[in-house]
This record gives sequence, C-alpha cells and structure tokens, in this order.
Amino acid sequence: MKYLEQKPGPLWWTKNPRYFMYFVREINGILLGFLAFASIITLIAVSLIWKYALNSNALFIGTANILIPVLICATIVSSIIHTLTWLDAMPKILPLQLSKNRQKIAYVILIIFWLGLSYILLNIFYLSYATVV
Amino acid sequence: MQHFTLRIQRYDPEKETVFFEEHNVPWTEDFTVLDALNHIKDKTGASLAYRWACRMGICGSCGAIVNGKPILMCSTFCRDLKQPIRIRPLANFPVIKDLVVDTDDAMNKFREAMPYTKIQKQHIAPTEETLQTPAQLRKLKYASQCIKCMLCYSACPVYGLNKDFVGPAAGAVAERYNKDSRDEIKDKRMDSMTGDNGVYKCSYIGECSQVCPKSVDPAAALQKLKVAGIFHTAKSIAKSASAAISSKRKS
Amino acid sequence: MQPSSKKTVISYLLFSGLSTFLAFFLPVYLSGLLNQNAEMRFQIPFFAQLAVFDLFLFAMLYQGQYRLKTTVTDLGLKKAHLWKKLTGISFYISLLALLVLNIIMAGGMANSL
Repeated sequence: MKYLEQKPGPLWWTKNPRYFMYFVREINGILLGFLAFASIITLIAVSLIWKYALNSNALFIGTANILIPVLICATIVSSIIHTLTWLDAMPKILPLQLSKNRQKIAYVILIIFWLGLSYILLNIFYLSYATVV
Repeated sequence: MQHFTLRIQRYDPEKETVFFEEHNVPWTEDFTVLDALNHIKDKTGASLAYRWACRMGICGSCGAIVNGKPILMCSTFCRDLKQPIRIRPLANFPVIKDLVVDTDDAMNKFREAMPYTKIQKQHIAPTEETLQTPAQLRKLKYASQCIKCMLCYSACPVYGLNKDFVGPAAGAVAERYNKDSRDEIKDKRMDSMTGDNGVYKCSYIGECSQVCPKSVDPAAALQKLKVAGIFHTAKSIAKSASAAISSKRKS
Repeated sequence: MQPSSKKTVISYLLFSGLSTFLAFFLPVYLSGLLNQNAEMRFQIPFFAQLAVFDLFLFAMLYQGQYRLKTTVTDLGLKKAHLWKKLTGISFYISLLALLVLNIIMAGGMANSL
C-alpha cells in the first residue's frame, strides 16, 4: 500500500493569475539584473572602441546612439514594474494589521509618495526637466 | 438545473491507481460540497473516503481542491460552482486514499514555531491569573484564528517543492506567539524561524492569504517575521560582539 | 528546531534594502540619464556621479542574482544547486566587469584632466 505523492509540476506558475504575477515579478527582477550586466558590457565596449579606433565611424556612432537609449528605456520600464510590484508587498511588512482593503489603500499612498518623491528629486537636480518623449 | 455533477479524483492505495468518478446529486439550493459528498456516500459511493467533522468551518478537516481552488467543502455551496464540480485532494500532500491526505509533515512544522509562551523543565502551577488587556489581545487575535486546515500549505508552491520550508501556517502561529504579551521565548522562536528553511524561503507569492478561510493573512505574518528576523539577528550579533569584547577585557 | 542562519538573514537584508532603494530611486535616476537635454542645477563631481552609478548597478545585479537563485528553487529545476552556483559565479563576473568599467571611466576622466 503506497501513498500517492503530489508535487507541483514545472508549469505550476501558469495555473493561477496570482502565481503568474509572481512569476512576472521575479522574471522582471532577473531582467533588471541582466540589463545592468548588458549596460556594463555595452559601456566597456563603447569606451574601448571609442578610445582605440572607430571614434569617427558613422556606423559605430549610430549603433551606440541607438543601443544606449534602448537599454535605458528597457531598464526604465523594468524598474517601474519593479517599483509597482515592490510597493505592493510593502503594506504587508508594516507593523500594523491591515485588512485587504486597507492594504490596497496603503499601496496607493505609497505610489503617490513615490511619484511625489520622484518629482521633487527631478526638480532638485535639474533646472527645468522636460518629459522625454 | 436538475442536479449537480461532481467529478471526483479517487485513489486506490492497494492498486496504486488514480481514477475519476462522476456522480449526479439532486439539486438542492443549500447543498454544500460536503453535503453532496455525504449524499454520494449514503446513496451510491460507500467506499469514497474523505475527512469532515464540524461541517461549519471551524475544525479545518474538510479541505479539498474544488474547481482548482483549495477550499473548505463545508463552507462552499454547490450552486455557486461551475459544473461539473471537480474535486481532488489537497495538493502538496501525499494522498492516503481518495480525498484523504497525510498532513503530518505540515503539522510537525508547528513545532518550529514553538507554539507556547514559556519553557519549563517542570510544571509549576501558576499562583495567579495572567491578565491581558483587550488591546494586547487585538495584536494577536488575527493570527490566532488559524484552524490548521492546511489550505495554505496546499496553495504554497514553495512548500510543495521543498518540504523543509516552515510554511505559511507555522509562520502565522509564530507571529501569534511573538505578539503575545505573555510570551517569554521570542528569541528562541526567532532563532528557529530565521534558519535556512525558515521564513526567508518564502517568495511572497501570496496565494496562502487568498485561500485562508479565516483571513489569517499568513503571507503578511511571514513578511513581518522576515523584518523581525533582521532585528533579532542584529541584536544577537551585538550581544555576541559585546560578550566577546568583555571576555577579552577580563582575560 | 533549526538553528538560526545569519548568512540567510544578511543576504535578505541586503536584497530588501537594495530593492527598496531601487524601487524609489531607479526610475527617476534613469529618467535623468535618458534626457541629455536636461540642464543640471549644480555640478556634481565626476567621482560622486560614478559612485552613484556603481551603487545602482550593484543593486540591480545583487537583486537579480538573489531573485534568480530563488526562482531556480521555486521552479523545481533539476540540479538546482548547480544553477545556483552558476548564478553566483555570474554575479562575481559582473562585479569584475563593473570594476573594469570603473577603471576605464576613471582613467578616461584622468586623461581628459
């Protein structure tokens, strides 16, 4: 007589929207790390090529002018997803017992705080910050 | 609708086979899933094995996965469920027979949470009552509602993949005792919770809090324990550093 | 009762601290990098800018490797311990690359002075 063992399959994260959101959050975090690594390698390559040759090469300059902003834009998108998912977890760690609705309100307050802080920082460091299109 | 159709996953431990059975139960407006199973057992499927006791959502015996979601069968009405109603045993536990699972491993995890307020080598009867104000009770009340139904363990893929993880309910119990004004062993408990398979194995998926029938919010308890663990570790590092310094001074 | 693991707690502390830092400051920092036309209110020394840049990159790399190790375990991959070791090695290689980048950038700045 044997018990039937049960274990989640490799695709357990597809079974439920909350599992899927967890997976998206983790993959985004890993992507952020990968984008950091890609940025480091790109900057090393650009610096070395610029220093030793091709600093007047149009193809090189064109590629660098496209690749670096694309990397930054991808990182901005990934960082915003990281911020939204991280702030979602923050109400849980507060030393308060909040109901599910109050946790949602706390989440909204944190997002507003983050947007306000970002606006203040941009105005502290930049004279006139025009939104990048 | 004339009847409810229940599709039940069964397991025969002697033949070691999994098979499915479909049963039709006459439509009754206030039938819960447990009522439907009792009807099946009475009328047609006498060998069907499942656990139940209080039938009012307080004992935690009748947990099962119904239409893909871990629920208490006594608290879920058949009329609210999509037909056919698919019933299978709780996930992440070995199945003994049909819908009966072995939850011993998860139950043992509560020992890691040290669910008591003091350790005494000998029983010493208290000489006076221990008073607790309503405000002190409110701090621990939400986490004390756990009925050990194991729905959270069933919903936790981290526990499913690593049976050494303490799990959500044990985390909630640890938080309950940490918040208890009468507690004297918080440090020992936090040592246990901050181990390699302690609260830091939690990936904050959050499904445990969604399925909990008593709104205990074990996910929040685990995140709070993670923060408490940081302060506990800082305190113990500071203690060992000051003990090392004072012993060096003495020598 | 399992014994306490200071290493686990410290790595979680680093992860949560750096992730919180990234959550609040990374989007605004990147917005500043993207807009090359924005004029800064005051001059920040190059080495301070480089230090901030390094901090953000280190934070992104650290939280990435922490999450990758967790995901490898949570996916129930076979030979998960080997994947975790590979993740650890990749993290150290990334830190080495960051050091090389710093040397190049600092050297380039020194040359231009």
